[in-house]
Amino acid sequence: MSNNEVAEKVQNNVASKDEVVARVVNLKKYFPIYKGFLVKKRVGDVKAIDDISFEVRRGETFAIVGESGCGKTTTARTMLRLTDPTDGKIEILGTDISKLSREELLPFRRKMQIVFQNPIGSLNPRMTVGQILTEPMLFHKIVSNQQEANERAVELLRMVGLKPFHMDRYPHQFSGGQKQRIAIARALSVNPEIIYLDEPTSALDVSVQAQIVNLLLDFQKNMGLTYIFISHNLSLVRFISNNVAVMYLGRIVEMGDVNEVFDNPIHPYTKALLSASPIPDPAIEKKRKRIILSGNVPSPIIRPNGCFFNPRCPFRMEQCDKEYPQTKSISENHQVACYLVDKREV
Amino acid sequence: MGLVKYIARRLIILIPELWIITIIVFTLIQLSPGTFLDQYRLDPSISRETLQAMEKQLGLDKPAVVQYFYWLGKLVRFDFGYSFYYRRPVIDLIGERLLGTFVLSLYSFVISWIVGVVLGIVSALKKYTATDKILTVIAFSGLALPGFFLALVLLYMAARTGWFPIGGLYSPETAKMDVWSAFKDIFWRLQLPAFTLTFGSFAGLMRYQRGSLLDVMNEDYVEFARAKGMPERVVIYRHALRNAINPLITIFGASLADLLSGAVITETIFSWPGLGRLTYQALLQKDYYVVMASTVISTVLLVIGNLIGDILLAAVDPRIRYE
Repeated sequence: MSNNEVAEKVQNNVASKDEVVARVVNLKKYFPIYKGFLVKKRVGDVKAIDDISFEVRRGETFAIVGESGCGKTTTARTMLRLTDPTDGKIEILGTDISKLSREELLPFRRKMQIVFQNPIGSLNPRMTVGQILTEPMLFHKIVSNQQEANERAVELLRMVGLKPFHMDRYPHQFSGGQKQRIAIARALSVNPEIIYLDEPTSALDVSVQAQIVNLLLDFQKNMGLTYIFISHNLSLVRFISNNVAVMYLGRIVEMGDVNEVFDNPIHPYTKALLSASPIPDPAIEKKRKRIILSGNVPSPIIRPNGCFFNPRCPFRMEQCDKEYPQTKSISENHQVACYLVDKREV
Repeated sequence: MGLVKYIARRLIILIPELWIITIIVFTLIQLSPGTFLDQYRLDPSISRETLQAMEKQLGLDKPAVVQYFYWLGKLVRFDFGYSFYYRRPVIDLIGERLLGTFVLSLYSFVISWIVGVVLGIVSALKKYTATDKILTVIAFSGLALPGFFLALVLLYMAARTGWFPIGGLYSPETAKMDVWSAFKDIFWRLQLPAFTLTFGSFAGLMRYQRGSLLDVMNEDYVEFARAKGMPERVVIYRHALRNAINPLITIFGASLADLLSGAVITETIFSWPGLGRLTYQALLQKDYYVVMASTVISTVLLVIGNLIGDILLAAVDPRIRYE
């Protein structure tokens, strides 16, 4: 990418700071469960995502956190249309892509890229780094010929801290951190606007994690990228993201500005999540009271009545068993779905 | 250069391997009850003197160890010895039977591979659908049905309906036919034994292909190819299938040996003049050197087949290199 292009992007970014680049409205993704050998009967659904809505603004990092199986990755996969949504809208750059055909999706696919958690599985072992990097550009016609693609691939390698001679190597010849750099270069190869980062550092050594995070932050600053960041690592989320959504059993239970949500969590689940991550100060860590949740995450097939969190909630009240709490705003940029909101106001 | 050395090393290892295997097979034949001459001993018209003369002539009067080294000494000069029963060089016998076995095995080999791989891919792409389930049932029937049983059922049907000849490579008239009718006749006679062999072997291949493709389809790089918006066909052929062939190449190498070792049971039931039947009859008659020759051929082919598989693997997979 030329410097002019970068500059232009940054300017666009400044010009449209509040532009919503991705909006999800009442998104649902159910996986049907069938039983029976010859005659199949639909016996239920795994409600992986159940009616979630959020907005992601240009240039921000929007984090999605939650336990394994809460629907974080399914959210990203559905937004990328790797799996079709059951219901709801996915607006990318102002267009609802939830029902577009494969051909109609192509221009949007160029704008959205993904970096996976496991760098080993995310690169095709039969392809050289050069092929891995040039295939997306050639496919999306970002470049006109192979030579141009190669030049651009070498430039991308340089950007992620690798060398031109790495072009002819195969993925297995690199370390985990290097592979993740290649995966990032591949994501950048088509000049995307939104990058989904599905736990991009959790498979790496701590020392390498920091390098990858810094690399990602640099690119975000220089190119005005928008990140949708899926993670378990709450301290990392706080460090790099602007807004955060906490998911539990396919729903967003609390969402808002990362500092507001983390400093002043309302939902008991958010509190428990936050208390589960250690504080790097032994003095505070010793005195700190941890909220230990009892029980396991309920099955997403048969969920509890009322609030899904009620069997594990230390503050369970009568109304929690009856109806799922409405999402309420407690400040301009902080929403929560919990009856404790009303208590707090009293 | 590394590859040449690797191949040389593998071929050198073949020598001690072969030696040990021949000792084992020879010992096993010696340990099994009876000798080649027993059938003559039961015949009252053959005198004691004749028997002794035969024993001496065939070298059976010597201790087993001496017999073994005598045979080994000849083998080193590529002489497989004489058949007791046919009174002819083993190499000629095998030469005659090789074509029959090769025609049958190659035919069923090609069909099993094409059918197995194609149906495996279909089965994987249509995972859990009715198509997949039907193919799975067929595959498991293929794996579960013993070859001899299927062969007998086919033979029974052939006898009842008269649609297929009930055995043999040639009919009595083959010699009188012109080339094209003879070819058609042989091709027709090939069908039942070939079907028996194919039904037993395509099923395993199909399940391997299905399993390995499904494994790969879940990999992130396949997901990434989809996220690029590539048509599913391109995703499967360029990204998934190329990574799903490793286990099949290994099986391919190992099964190359089957091409010339003969299918004992199928050939016997369909009276197919192949190596398998020759070996089986030789075993019953204690015709040592025929059995030994057949063992040597199978072993060499197995080792070379595996070597070819390994070389192919290195050719298609950049992660595999031989030093």
